[in-house]
Amino acid sequence: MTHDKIQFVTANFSQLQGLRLIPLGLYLLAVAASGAGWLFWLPGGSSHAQERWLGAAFCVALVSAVVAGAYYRSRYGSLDQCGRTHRNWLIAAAVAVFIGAAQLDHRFHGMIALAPLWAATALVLVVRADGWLRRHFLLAAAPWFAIAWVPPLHADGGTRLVTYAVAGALSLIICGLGDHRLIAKTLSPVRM
Amino acid sequence: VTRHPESFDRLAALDKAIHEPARLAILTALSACRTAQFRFLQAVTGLTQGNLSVHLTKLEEKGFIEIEKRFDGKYPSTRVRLTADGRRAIAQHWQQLDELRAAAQRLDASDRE
Repeated sequence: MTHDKIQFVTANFSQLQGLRLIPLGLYLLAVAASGAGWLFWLPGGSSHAQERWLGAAFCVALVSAVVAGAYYRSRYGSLDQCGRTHRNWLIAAAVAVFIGAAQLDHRFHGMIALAPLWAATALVLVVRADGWLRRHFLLAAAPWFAIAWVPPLHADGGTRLVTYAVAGALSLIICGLGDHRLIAKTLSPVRM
Repeated sequence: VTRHPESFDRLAALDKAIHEPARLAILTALSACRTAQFRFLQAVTGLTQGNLSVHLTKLEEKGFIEIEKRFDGKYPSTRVRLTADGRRAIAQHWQQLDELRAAAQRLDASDRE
C-alpha cells in the first residue's frame, strides 16, 4: 500500500464512501423510468400516485444512504477529517452552475447542451484535482459528454428529464462503485 | 552505497521508530486527518488490536501521538492524534525518503553511463 493512497483515503474517507451514492443513483433511475412512462403498472396508476411512489423511493434512498454510512463506520472505524469547507463550497458552486446552464439550455435550444457538458467537465476536473486514483470519474463523465452532443437527447423537456436522470444515475453508480472499490482495496475490514 | 557514503549516512539517519512499516502507515494516516479512531488505524495497518496497541504505545512514548480514550454514547472509543512533533517527524521522514530515492536514481543513471 502506498503512502499516497493511505493519505488520500484518510483525507477523503467520508467522500469515498461510495455505497451511499448507489441508492440515490437507483432513485434517479426510477425518476427516469417514471418520466419515460414505464411505471404505469404501479398501484394507483395516476401521475399523483407515481409522485407518491417516487417520494417514498427517495425516502428509502436517503435511509439506505444513512445505513451505508453506518456500515462503513462499523467496518473501518471513523475519523475527524481536516477542513472540508472549501470542497463543499466547490460542489455547491458546480451544482449551481449546472442549474444555471440547464436554464440556458431550456431557453436557447443550442446544438450542444451546456448543462451536460458542464457535468462532464466537472467530473473530469475531479480527476485532475484528486489524481489517477479517481479515474473512474472519467467513465462517469462519458454519459454526460454523449448527451451534450446529441440534440435528440436534450431537445425537449420530457426527453431531457429522462436523459439527465439516466446520466445522473449512471454517474452516481459508477462513482460510488469506484470510490467504494478504492476504500475496499486500501483498508482491511476490522474484525472484533 | 559504498561509493556514496553520504547516502549510507542518510539511510542510517532514518528514525527507526518511524521507519517500521506499520508505524509509518499509522503516522502517514494521522498526518492526513485531525484524529482517527483506533479501529480506523486497524483498518489502515491490518494489525490485530494487540499489535496496534504496542505500536501506538511506542509512538506515544516518542511523543509523536496523543491517545484519548472517551465514550461515544455507551461505547468506548479510542481516538489518536498526531502531535506537533509527530507532524514534523513524519514530514521530515518522507523528505529523507524522497531524497534517498532521488540519490538512488542518480546513482543508477551514473552506473548506466
